Amino acid sequence: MSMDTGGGGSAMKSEPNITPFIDVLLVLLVIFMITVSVSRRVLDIQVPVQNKGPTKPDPNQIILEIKADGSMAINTQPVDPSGLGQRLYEIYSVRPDKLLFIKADDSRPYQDVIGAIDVARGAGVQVFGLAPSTAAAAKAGG
Amino acid sequence: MAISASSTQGGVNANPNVTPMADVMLVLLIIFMITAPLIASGFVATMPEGINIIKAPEDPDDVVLGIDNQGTYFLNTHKIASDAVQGALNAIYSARTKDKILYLKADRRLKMEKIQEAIEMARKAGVRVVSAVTEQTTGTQSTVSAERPKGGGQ
Repeated sequence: MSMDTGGGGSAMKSEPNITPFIDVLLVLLVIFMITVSVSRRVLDIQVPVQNKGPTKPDPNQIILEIKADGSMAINTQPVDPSGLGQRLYEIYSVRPDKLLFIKADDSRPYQDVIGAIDVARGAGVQVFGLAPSTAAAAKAGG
Repeated sequence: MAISASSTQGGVNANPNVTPMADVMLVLLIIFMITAPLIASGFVATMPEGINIIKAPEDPDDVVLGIDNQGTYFLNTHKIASDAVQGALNAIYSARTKDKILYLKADRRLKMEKIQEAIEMARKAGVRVVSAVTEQTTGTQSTVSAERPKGGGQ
């Protein structure tokens, strides 16, 4: 038992105590694990290139309208927000182009639009366009 | 025997071992030092939530436009006056050849009017894709691919 009574012995223990060092490294590891798992998530919205002349609306395009009172319409046909995903799935499962335009009233909160894009992405839409608001369009023109 | 020898010497050591606590405190200090500039900038915004959202790893070259819940603009975490945003975006994107993505970190309760205004400025500056930064709704998982489509960001 010479090691246990080392204090009384002549040999000095020269190895550094690495336990606190390992503690710190473990904490850092946990922090990085958390930050990696909550890496940034996005939803992409395509921005149209400025057209010079008046654009001719494509008759086949799908426009989702979010009105001032929160009601929704797909190509002017009213749709229940809770049934939006199902309706979009029916439309886009047979369409080759997965493009949806969203036209939201200026008074609606941002979350509504993101929520609609989110539901539409779940229903198979891949590309999103945001129709400029009437106010922004007027400002751009003037 | 060591134990019996030590008990006869001085009894139980009653001082708490503060070394692990000091270690943890130092790590916390480092964390707060890193996050302090973000908090001090005054950017207070709750990101909108979504389920089917795309993973976009952060890149130091990304251009991030923040709009906090007061409607104040932040360009790459620095506060910027609303009438200076257009000029700053023009300068960034006219010199940028890599990609024309603008990451938009806006508060979820902002009105679309404000968002449209920001997107309009981005469009004039030559941005092709506005990436709305969102947060995964807790307890949900994307039902579709969370990978960004190839070429979708160009």
